[in-house]
Amino acid sequence: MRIRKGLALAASVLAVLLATGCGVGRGSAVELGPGDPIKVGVIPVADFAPVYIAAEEGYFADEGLNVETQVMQNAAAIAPSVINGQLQFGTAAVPPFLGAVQKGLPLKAVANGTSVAADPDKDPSALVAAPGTGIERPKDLEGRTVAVNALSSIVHVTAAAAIKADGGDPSLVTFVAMPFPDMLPALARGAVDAASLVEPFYAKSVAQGAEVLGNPYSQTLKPDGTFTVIFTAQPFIETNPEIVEKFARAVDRASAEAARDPQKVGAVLAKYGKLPPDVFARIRVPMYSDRLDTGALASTGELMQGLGFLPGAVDVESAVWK
Amino acid sequence: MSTSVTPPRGAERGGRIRLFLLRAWLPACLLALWWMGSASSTSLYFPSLQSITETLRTDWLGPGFAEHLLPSVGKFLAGFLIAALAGVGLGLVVGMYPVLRAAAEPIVQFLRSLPPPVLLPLGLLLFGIGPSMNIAIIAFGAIWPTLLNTIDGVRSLDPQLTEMTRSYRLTRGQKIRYVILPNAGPQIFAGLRTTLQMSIILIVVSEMVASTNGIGYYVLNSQQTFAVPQTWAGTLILGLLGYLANLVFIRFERYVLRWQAGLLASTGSGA
Amino acid sequence: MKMTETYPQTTAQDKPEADAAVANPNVLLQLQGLQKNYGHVRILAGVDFEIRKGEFVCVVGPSGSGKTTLLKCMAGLLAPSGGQTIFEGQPVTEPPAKLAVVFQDYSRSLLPWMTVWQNVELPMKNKFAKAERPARIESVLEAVGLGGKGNLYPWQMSGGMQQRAAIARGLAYQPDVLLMDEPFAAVDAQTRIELEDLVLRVRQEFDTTVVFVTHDIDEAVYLGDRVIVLSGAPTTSAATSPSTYPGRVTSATPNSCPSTPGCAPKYSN
Repeated sequence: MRIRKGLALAASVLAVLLATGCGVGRGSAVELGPGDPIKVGVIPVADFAPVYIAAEEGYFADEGLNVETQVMQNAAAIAPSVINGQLQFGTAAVPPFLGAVQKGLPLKAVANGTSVAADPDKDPSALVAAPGTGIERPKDLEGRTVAVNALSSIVHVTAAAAIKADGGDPSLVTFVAMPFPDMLPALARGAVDAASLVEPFYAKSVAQGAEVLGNPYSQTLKPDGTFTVIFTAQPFIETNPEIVEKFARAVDRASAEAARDPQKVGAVLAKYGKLPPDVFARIRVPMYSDRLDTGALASTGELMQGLGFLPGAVDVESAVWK
Repeated sequence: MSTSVTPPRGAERGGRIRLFLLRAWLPACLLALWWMGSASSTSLYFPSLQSITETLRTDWLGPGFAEHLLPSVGKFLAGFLIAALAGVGLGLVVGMYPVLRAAAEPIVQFLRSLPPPVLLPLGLLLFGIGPSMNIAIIAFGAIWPTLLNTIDGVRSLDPQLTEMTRSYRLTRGQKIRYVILPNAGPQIFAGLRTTLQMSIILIVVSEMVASTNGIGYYVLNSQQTFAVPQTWAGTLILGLLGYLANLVFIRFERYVLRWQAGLLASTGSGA
Repeated sequence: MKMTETYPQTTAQDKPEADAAVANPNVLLQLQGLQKNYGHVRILAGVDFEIRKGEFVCVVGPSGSGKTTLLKCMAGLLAPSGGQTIFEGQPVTEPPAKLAVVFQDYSRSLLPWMTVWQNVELPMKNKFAKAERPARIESVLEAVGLGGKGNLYPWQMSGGMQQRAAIARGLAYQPDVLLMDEPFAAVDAQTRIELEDLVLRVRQEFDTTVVFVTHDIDEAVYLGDRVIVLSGAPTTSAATSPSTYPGRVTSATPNSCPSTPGCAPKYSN
């Protein structure tokens, strides 16, 4: 019964698809007029604060853009929406962005979100082990279970890279996905041996006595290189080149502002990310920069390919808007 | 006097073939349409059926069979059986005692309204990482239709049957085995069918967090890494699993409740 | 009680072998001032009579006279509000092991998920060893005319056959007394005649005491060695036909009414 319904559904979807003759990303090729709402899918974390700052500070309005933000779960949900034109722009960390590009999605990065802090003290990421497990360094995680927020995410990729960099074999490590908030209880109860996590959970885990094995972002990614991006679909760029230009300019302006005044980051995170100000005061703020670093994208791509996260090479040049 | 009509063997077989053809033509046509329509598809999100079946073959008949399918089927069967047995057992006890029923009602209503994904962190804490957590999530999430239907079915016993069992001094065990459970049978099975369908869905939910294998893990992972043919293949496998499980279940239900079909036919209140 | 005065029991004539009167060891079942109230509604307001071993007694009364209530009190299925039932010298507080009931609605008393054979066998499980059962089931089914039909389900049979099966179940239980609650109310006239003769026959064959409740005077007269007439509700009195001679019962019926004005049925059971 169910399969027949499923097939019927698939067939009707197919019929629509064939009738409209839409290819990949053609849904995004709609030309927007002045004042039409531009929707941005944003993961409500500190990395994408510039989008919120640009909206709050009126940078988008200064460019004559009517931008609406929409909270989304992850890049896997955002990318299809950008392709089919429901969203005009999206946010992603570099690994899922490269994963989508490698699979042939016509996505282009238009602006830098955050960059990798070269200084471990400013790194918001950490690989932590529960106290008393005898784990002292990333290599010790071989044969252990490590929690990551999502499989193939930046957290997963950099944790695997950190283990490899320490001389370990990441394929001997069992990575399991669970939301960040669940990691601390799982660590405390011994369900996992270690966790790869970010602020504010990094700070909380240290307060609970967790052993810090390393800071994967700063240790495995190109320093000062692009860490998160704001992207759109290639067909949208072709039909709306001016909107893309204005949008990128506003976000870059906000990135510079975020780097200059962290308080503004705290303000938008409190408003959009439900992050209490007192928690914000204690976390390491990511490094904001308006420099979209193609070289960093390429090196992250190679890192992923080397660890088996990407089945092939990525043409990074074509994935960046000039 | 007998109202049961047994058709000649040949006619029965002919009927079955006709029924099969009647059922099969639409899915077959749709599959053919899908195959042809998607053959030259360049769309990333709607890959050709050929590439999906290719993935099915390489991923699911190959290593995926042991790595993802068997663990999921195992978790599903264990979760479903626990939900079924616990649902019928608890439903029987609660249904038989009005006091217990009144006490259990608010608790049951509260627990059943908890969406299973919410329970994932709790399941993780209680059962750790591994199949027992998945099984617990499936069992907990899927038990409610069986439990509620069993309570209802046990309660619905005709007072005259109760008097009959008392008058003939049946023991409690005999009453449960020969009267209460069969009487509640149709309702219990209606609940079990929903429990079965929920168990299939809950495979995916339970494998969303802290899993290392399974169909849900495969689908979720392929979705997050934009591996679209894999996502489709996993979804098809899940649908196929649900279809087969339902098929087996309906056979079993028909066998156990064969008396009911005859009863309905004889009173004219059903097909 | 009042009726006992008006119609003193002339027991000597009832049965040739039952010539003793009160506290007779042959008395199987005795109702002593049986009362039953449902809330404020009084259904039974003191019913007295006794049933002797081997008798076929019909209890007849208009609709709403509490016939079913009376039968349930006798069977131990319902606790009386006052008075008591004595069965084989013991007050009845729960269904006695040597008493069986054939219910009015056969479609609701046979188990549709069991064959006739299984239905008959079920109550025997606590009474007869497994090896004893088949022969006994065979013989009761034969007796009620269902020989060879044991593997049918109740819903594969007509109403008359279902009630035969219910009677077979009662007989197979080997009770000292079989209580029948309007067993033929739901079957057609022709079947009813067949079943009435069947009951008379099996009663002889199995030597069972029968208490047969009905609203049909003709049926009561035809079947009973003795007829007990209930007044309309609240049932304050019971009239008993003194002998097995049917002709005198009819005259007793109107007399049972005057004590209750109207005699109109108030409650239907």
